[in-house]
Amino acid sequence: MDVKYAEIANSLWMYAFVTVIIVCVTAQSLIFMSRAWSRARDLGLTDEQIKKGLVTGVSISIMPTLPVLIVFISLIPLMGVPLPWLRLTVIGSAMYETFAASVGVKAVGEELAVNGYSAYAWTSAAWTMAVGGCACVIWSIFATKPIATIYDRVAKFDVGLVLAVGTGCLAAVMANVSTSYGFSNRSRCVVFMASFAASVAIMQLHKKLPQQRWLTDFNMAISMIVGMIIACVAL
Amino acid sequence: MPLQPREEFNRWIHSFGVTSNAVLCAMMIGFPLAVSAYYNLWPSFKTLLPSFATVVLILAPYWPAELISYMPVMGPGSLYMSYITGNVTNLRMPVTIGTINILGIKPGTDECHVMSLIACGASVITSTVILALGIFAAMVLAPVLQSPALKPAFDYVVPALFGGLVAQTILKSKKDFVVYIPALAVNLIFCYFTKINGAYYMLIGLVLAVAFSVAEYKKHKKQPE
Repeated sequence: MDVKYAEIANSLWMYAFVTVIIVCVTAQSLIFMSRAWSRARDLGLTDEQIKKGLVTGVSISIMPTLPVLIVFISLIPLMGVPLPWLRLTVIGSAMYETFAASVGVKAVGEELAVNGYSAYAWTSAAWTMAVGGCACVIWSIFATKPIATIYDRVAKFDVGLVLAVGTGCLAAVMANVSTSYGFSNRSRCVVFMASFAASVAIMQLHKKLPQQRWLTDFNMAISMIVGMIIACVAL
Repeated sequence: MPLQPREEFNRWIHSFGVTSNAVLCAMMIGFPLAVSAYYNLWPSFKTLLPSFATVVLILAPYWPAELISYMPVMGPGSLYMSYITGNVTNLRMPVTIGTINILGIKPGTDECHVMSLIACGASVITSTVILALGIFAAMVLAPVLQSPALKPAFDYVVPALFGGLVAQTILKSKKDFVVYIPALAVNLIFCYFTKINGAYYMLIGLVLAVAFSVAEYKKHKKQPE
């Protein structure tokens, strides 16, 4: 029990173990994408449209991944590299993983602190993070197909109804994120509204200059950067 | 009878999604299992049970809310992928909506679901590469990313992401805006005047928005062409 976590947390075999898992996760995404690509062609989408979807996926993901990277860097002295690397690449979100780690360490009567807890507590944190993460995967394994089947059955007798449900769901999701990330406190509201206003300005500009298609393509990236600049300047 | 391409694709999505998620889930549990076996450090699971319950129950209310509301937009394939890689609300869902906004694709269509798969896959690979590079660049990047001048930008990156995304989504048409407003009102009322968990009022907003959207659809369907 006296062994400190730092003595085991960066073992070479753990790097190898985590690398294998992350390669498998990436392979899953690549297989899904490859099959979706040929299905998209069958549906009549052009290669140019598909590539645009791909580029959008990459461009929108860069900035929101940076806070995850910050949490990863800050967790390295606390937990070593392999465990945070695994948890933040697979399933984990930045806030949740830090919380799960501290709950796991506290459960065995210790505190999450640099060089301040045992390898035993580190193992408890690893178990807690893994169980917490896997629970939602188990949920997805059992619940995704039944829910998709319900939507599919409705689509068979009225496609328009499913599209209307889709529009309603999208509006509901937008309303929920507007509340959670936009209107739940003053600081968030300032940043959210700055980004919203920038996006509206770009849409208006595009109406006046319809040949400038890049305005639509980069609208989200530009409005996000405007929001981040306002956060630095005003908060 | 041979399956239609759509049914064949959907059958493959579920079969591959369930199998690959089960294998990856086992591998993830395999990590602490291997650590405990290798160092002979077996925690008392009786002691850990409350912490397991805490980390599961804190997110459990969101699972049905997310799966029901994201399904028509993201489709099952993206959801299988997103539950493995996490960050559904702050990464995978925005890239899906950003993509369909840019390409002018309607939510709930087959085109929407396949483009969501491609965009989410690209997003997963981007995040994975950034985090992998972070291991090597940690020493160099840490002072820049953690500098006090840039800290607010990263603290508020998600509100900054959603401001533009919400604008582009709800201002596409009058109908989108009309359906959004009552759902927003419900969310704000529950957020400010009750202590109910966000996952529950998300579902209430969902029911209201879907009811408005379906009523609008039925009204247009009844009107003679």
